[in-house]
Amino acid sequence: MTDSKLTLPSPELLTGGRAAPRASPRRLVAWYIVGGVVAVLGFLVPLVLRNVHWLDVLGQGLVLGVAATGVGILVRQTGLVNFGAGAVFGGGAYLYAIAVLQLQIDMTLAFLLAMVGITVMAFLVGIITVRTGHLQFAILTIAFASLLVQFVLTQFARPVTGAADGKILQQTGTFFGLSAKAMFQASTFWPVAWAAILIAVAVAIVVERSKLGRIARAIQENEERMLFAGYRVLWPKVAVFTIAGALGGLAGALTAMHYSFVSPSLLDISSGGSILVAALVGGPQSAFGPAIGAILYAIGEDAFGAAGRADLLTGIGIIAAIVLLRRGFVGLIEDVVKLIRRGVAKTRKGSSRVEH
Amino acid sequence: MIATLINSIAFSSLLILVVTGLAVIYGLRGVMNFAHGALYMAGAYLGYTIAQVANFWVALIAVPIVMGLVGFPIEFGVFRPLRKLSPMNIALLTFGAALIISDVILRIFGSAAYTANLAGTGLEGTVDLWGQRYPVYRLFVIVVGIVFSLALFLWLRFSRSGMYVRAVSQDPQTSAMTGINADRIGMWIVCLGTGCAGLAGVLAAPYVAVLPTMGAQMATIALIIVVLGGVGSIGGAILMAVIYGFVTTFGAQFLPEFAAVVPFLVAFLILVIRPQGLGRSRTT
Amino acid sequence: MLSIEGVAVNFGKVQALRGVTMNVEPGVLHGIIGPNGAGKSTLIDVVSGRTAASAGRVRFEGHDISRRSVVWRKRAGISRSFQKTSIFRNETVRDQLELVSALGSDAAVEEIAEALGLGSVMDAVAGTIAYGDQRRVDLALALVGKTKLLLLDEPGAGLSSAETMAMFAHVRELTEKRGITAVIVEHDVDAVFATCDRITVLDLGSVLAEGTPAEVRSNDDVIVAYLGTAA
Repeated sequence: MTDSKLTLPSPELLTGGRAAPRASPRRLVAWYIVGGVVAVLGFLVPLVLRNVHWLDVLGQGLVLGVAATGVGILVRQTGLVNFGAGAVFGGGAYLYAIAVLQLQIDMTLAFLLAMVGITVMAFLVGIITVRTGHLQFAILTIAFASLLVQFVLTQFARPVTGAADGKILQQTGTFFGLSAKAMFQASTFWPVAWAAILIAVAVAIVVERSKLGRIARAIQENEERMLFAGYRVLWPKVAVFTIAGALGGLAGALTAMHYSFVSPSLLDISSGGSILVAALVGGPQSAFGPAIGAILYAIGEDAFGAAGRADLLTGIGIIAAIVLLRRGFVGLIEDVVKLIRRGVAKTRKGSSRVEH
Repeated sequence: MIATLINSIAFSSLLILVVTGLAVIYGLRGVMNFAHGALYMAGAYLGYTIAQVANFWVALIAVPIVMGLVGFPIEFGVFRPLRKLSPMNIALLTFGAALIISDVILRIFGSAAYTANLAGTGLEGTVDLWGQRYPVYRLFVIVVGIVFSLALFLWLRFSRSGMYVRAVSQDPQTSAMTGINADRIGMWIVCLGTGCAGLAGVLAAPYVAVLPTMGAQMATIALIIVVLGGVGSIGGAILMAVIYGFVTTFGAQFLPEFAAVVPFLVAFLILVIRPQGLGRSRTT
Repeated sequence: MLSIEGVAVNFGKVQALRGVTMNVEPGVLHGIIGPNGAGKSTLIDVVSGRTAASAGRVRFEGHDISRRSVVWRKRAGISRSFQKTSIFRNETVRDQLELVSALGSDAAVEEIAEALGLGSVMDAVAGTIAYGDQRRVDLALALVGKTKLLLLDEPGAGLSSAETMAMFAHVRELTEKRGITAVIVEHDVDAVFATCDRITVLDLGSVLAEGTPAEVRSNDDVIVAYLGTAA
């Protein structure tokens, strides 16, 4: 998309300040048409894929993808890497659970409340944490996620959170027409998950092309110059963090609805790690990279997770992303396409080439 | 009250050992090692195993040496070849490594909690102090902690390599111009760091529950302490380690409900007010 | 326009500035020269808000701005360039100038770029152009947006004498045309003497002399401390 060299996905390189070279209008329209078709067809997957197990795995992959897209947006626009994404993911889940159990309201309303709550939380945490350097930020996100986990585990919080045992949710009403039972079933959950991922990718595209995105990336490239140019450098970062947090919370709330269950494992570092690795493996420089990474991770986790070795997958994934997959899976595909193109162009030229 | 005080100093001693390793590696190599807790955990499991097979004194000597040696492959296999990577990428790498290490340990040892055996070492049992009985081992940990801190202080303050470490931690760019062999010292420092983590692990083995989750737990705490102390400040990290030890132990005593929450909350609040930590941070 | 009153800056035990007082009249090109370590860049840092003064005050258009933030000062019309080139290497020249001018809603980007000789590189990615051009982009970034007071920190750093002289000429032209006041810290003494209306000489954190180029050139203290015999 931008750099021609194979570079490592260091935050500063994942974005650069440079916007993508404007694709020709025809290309753009082609992409939008393809995107539109994929978007519509996606809803029909359960009609084609009958295997409930795989539908379930992929559905969870989509939800993970929503959270991963949030992390991806944050990395791309600000260079900040959220190691503790479990905080917003689990946070959204628990807020939903609290709304359902304590306030005894129906699913849709509980969902909306949870979304508002997690957005506010992300905003407040964002103001505190984005002011620091990249490394401190990473550590702070770990600290905050750990804080939430420890709090949830206390006896004090037990009545509301269920502490280590978690909480089973008795959900009432419907979520946009779907009952809790429908939300649990893979085939009926799928459209919800698909809609969510479409929203997430759309948000990523909008942020990328918006003024906010441009300013955030410029701040990432040269914060001091932006400051001396008169930009308040804090707020764009806070805005991006809040958006990313909202997406994470969305994924968490959907997870809670799907399983009718919340537990501290949604909040912890392992959970955050899987969200992060999905974003990195997929490639945060594109809007749909993290989604692809999440699906890959979900498929992988199906094998590793059953044996309780999800952390191993996450660890290997991160290292592979840093050392091998430099620009993520999407970057890999792009590079392969480029190589193919170059190869094709060379063979075309080859016949008329003059040897020197 | 005194018991809590002794417990907190003992815990602080462990934290000082871990945090020193983390801070010097960061100071010299610019790498924030998210796998430092995993090294501590490896030291603990290794210590437990050796104590089972031989005895604890052997473990106490062997583990720091073994873990120190682990520094070589880390320095030559990871830090040097991957020098071109940005600090964030290396941090991510160590984060991934930590996850893998904890999985491997879970595989080998299972999820049961172990405690190293002190039988026959002379460190078991309690001793009578001020009319109360205190575990000898805790006092031993405190002694080790004090000796280590003293040695560290003297080294940093008065030796050439120590002064260099301090200089580079504070201001890497200027220090690079002084011409000391950075790479050689860097290598020894990494080994010192991993050795310290190992020592902390083997010291912890007889008195905390040795679990596959202890690595992530210690890593989180150590990272927070380093940030609180001001990234790049070794003295700051040690000071915050002591404070953190106190807050955690006394917090557990007086607010047992929130034992685990209090330190994180306090840390977070401090960082709200002063995001760069309380110590003197690096200049670059 | 700008009034620096008794400004002192201490970095721990090091006194970078000791009680500096100087005035800059509107519309004037005011140069600051001095040997290394004189505190010239620190003075710019204090006026632009990057460094807080340990003592003393800075007044801009009569108001005390000592406690004001960098962002506030920029919006009030104080702009600066950097000794160590601070541009957006991954953006095109045009894009970054537009980005920075967006806040001041100044449509003169093209004009300023042309005046600084950047017309040919406008659509090039800043990281790929020549160092001299990059210095001028740094300068342009300071100029776009509504600037009343321009602070230039060694604009000629890394440039040849001829290039520096040319840059000063550009600055002179632009400031006269747009009625901007400029304070220029510079090492290249010739360029300063040739272009500036008034000059302040700093040495070891204090003002050694101030006046017109002619006055400063013939000042004994300055000759002894700094200019040597070939003044």
